[in-house]
Amino acid sequence: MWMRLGVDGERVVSRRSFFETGMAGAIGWKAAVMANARELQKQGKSCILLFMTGGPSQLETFDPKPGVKNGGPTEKIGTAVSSIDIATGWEKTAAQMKHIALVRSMTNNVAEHTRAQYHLHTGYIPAGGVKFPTLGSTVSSQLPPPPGDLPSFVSIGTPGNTIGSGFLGMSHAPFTVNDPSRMPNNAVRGPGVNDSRFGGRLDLLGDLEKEYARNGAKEKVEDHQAIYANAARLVRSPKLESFDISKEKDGLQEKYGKTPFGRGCLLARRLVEQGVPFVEVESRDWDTHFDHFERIKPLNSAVDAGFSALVEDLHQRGLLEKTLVIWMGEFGRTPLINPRTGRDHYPRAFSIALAGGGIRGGQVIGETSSDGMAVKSRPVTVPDLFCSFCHSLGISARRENPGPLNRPVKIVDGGQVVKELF
Amino acid sequence: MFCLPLLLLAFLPTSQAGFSQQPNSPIAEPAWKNLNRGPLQPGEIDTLLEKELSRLGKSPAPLCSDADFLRRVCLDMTGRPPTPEQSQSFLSAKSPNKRQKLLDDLLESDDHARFWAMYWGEVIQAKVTDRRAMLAYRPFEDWMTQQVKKNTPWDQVARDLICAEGQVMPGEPANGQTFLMLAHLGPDAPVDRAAEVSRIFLGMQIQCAQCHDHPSDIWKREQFHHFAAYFARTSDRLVFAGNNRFGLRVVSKFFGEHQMPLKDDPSKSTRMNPKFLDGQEGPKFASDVKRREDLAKSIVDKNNPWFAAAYVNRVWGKLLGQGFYQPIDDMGPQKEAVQHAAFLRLVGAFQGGNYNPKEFLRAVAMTRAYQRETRLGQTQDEHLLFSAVYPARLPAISLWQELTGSLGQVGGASMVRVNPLIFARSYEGMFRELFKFDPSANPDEVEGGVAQALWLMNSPQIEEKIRARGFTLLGKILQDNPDNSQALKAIYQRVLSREPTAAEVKKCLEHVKKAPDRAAGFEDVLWALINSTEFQTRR
Repeated sequence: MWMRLGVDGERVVSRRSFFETGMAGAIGWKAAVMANARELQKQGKSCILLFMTGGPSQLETFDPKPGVKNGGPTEKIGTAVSSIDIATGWEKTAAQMKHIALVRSMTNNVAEHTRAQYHLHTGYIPAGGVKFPTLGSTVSSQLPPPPGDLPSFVSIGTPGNTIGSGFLGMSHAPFTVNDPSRMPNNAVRGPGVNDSRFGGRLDLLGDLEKEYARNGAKEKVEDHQAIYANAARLVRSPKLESFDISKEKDGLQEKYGKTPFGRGCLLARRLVEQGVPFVEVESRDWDTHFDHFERIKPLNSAVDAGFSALVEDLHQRGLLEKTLVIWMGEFGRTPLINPRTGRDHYPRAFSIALAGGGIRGGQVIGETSSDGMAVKSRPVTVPDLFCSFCHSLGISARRENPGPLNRPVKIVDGGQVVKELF
Repeated sequence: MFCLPLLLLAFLPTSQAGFSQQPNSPIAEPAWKNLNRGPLQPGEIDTLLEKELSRLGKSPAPLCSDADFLRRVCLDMTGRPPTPEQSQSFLSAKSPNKRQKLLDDLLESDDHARFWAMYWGEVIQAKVTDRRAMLAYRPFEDWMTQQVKKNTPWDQVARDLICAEGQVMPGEPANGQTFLMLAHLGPDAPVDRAAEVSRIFLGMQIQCAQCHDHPSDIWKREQFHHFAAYFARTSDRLVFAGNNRFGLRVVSKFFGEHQMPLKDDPSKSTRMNPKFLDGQEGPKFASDVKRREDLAKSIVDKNNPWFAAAYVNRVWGKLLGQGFYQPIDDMGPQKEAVQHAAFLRLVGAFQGGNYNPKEFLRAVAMTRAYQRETRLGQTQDEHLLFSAVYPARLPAISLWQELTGSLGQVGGASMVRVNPLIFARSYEGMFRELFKFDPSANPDEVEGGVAQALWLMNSPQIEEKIRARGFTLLGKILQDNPDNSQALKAIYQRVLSREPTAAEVKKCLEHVKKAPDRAAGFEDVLWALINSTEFQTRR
């Protein structure tokens, strides 16, 4: 059995060389992590990404423009921070505003879903040849794995809709949970298969796989074995019950909201509490080209409850300082309201929200023009944002990973940390 | 994945720089003009491929063994691994043209028709954004099965799908040809329909032409909207069937024109008339049916080589593991194909043979290129240029057939196919949902996941079937073969359709010897084979 990639201090061991060194590399990682002071800073750091697939409207979330034609019927409400107003429908989040920093000056030029989702997940524009890893996979490769053999990257929501681990390989691929109200399927061994028999089976499988690898399918076998290693570790994990949100008090479950998103947020907190470094929770259906103002009501309500409960709960447990919470989608929506009372895709000026992980809450970065069409001050780009994520998590944004043909690929190319956030 | 961005890119500056070709001559590339449309001679494609390989200093892999060919061609043509009887008779046959004979038999089988119908169903399904569209999935599978069985020419299939009318109702098999039109629903669907028709029948993702960031082809914004205008009056409606059930209908609107939003102000728009990609005007202010018929005619016209090229590239790509253009549905005047000469020859022959699907499958499967051993490149996504076959992951349905073929019925009887929602609750349905992937994706990008591994490792359904008890597969093999190496041979034959190598025999038998009893030892061996990379791969 070979295990996840090791961290050798300077750069991540390539999957191929790791495959060849096998167990020796696997034993090495812990020592390598402990020996490096910089690595120590990362201990216990986590990130929760709340991704609003489809593109949420900045005007109906964190940058309302009441009284302006483009603002539509959306009103603004006050928050726990007197200088900050947000859109109606976000009352619970408003109460947590002292923990939350808003960036109202995000600016980008990718307006197509698939490409923009890729960009906002990887920090890179899709480019021929290199499959960049999604943020969760990058974090999984850079932060120490959680104790108890839980997965390093859990994605809650639609399987197949997340961008994969790219050139980092399957050992950093997301473990997907479709339905957070149930335990992951088949994570428990069948009767008659005790741990030693399970181990014996895995050893035999690994042994037989070498034959097929030799017959022309080496990398296929490597990927397959990496997945099996992750699966096997999860099966054997003493922490498996972290996935069971029914262990939480009913009142808390209510607070997060008994919606798929609310449950996802609660599961994210349970996992982060156990040291899982990255959890992504997806909220879908933000692509409101028509009947926008009606269709976003239930979306706002579910995400307001889940996001606010998550921030408050993490804070009360003393986890918020170590946990970066990101709220974002692939772009914003057009300030101009289209003839079908919809808003279309708008990457030029949109908002995101951040909390925890050393972020100074209760502040707004940047500003849009009064009609919402343009960024008026402090533009923030996607690479800037990714540099800031790395800064929060103690990851060096300029670290190079071996990409295809061992070509070095920076975690983030370009961009600067948004210093005001910290 | 969601609705198309075209309307929405309006506000982005659209740079026209770099578009060197005129928009009205995208298909006038010189190489297309002189297509050789004659029937293929035996070995003709291989000669072209090998000439190019030798020019590049690459040597082709050796031809694969009979056992590998048998498993490969059975999985590719019928979605099922060979039965023990098929293996027995094929491997012992001495006839020099036994591969040809096997192929002919497979192409005439019901399994072939059903499997390829499922393949096309998944091609459409992969882009479905509204689950209600799946109401048309089953009827489509039935309809398409009939087309494959009858070997309906591909241009006729395209016409039927593009011009589809009618409704699908729960529990009724009729009107499966509506699936493509119903795959996208709602006010933005005309644009999605245009994009999908172009992707599937022209192999081109013209919806991307707009993108300021991705100007990798010649298409202009206006061209896409002229194309979308063919679907301006195609709409869909829910049809209530009582008892809280509903169906879906393709509806032709009596009026309405496609509107292209203005770049600077998306609240204003320009009316667009239908116009084909080559600049040919379509019918103005015409009825829905007239528009779609006209579009279908332009698409399948023999002056448009992209229609044949899209089929050739996709099907060749599926069978060889890599296409001439990658991804297989992303071709275009400015994209580059590998092995261009062989590609053009195949396109010409497919046109000349009047778009005959079985004839094309037969021609591909009889090439040396298809019958070579599998290899990977230096990197997983390196193109092998057809010097070897790329070991692609098996589609969910084939993996399911392999499992049930080697272990017997898994998880109880499959449920009757009445309704997609009920189907999804059958074990087969759940399995296909869990293991599915977009069949148009590059094979090197198709990745498994932990959830899939857990199912194969731990699910009670599998655990029950690998037991060596009485009537199970393993129970029977162990009873019939008191000798361990004979038993092992039988297991390998059944699961991987081949004999174990000497090294495999040694490893497995050692494991059995160490196990508490013979049955438990062989259960572990069977478990390992079911969970192996090879089991999930077309080798």
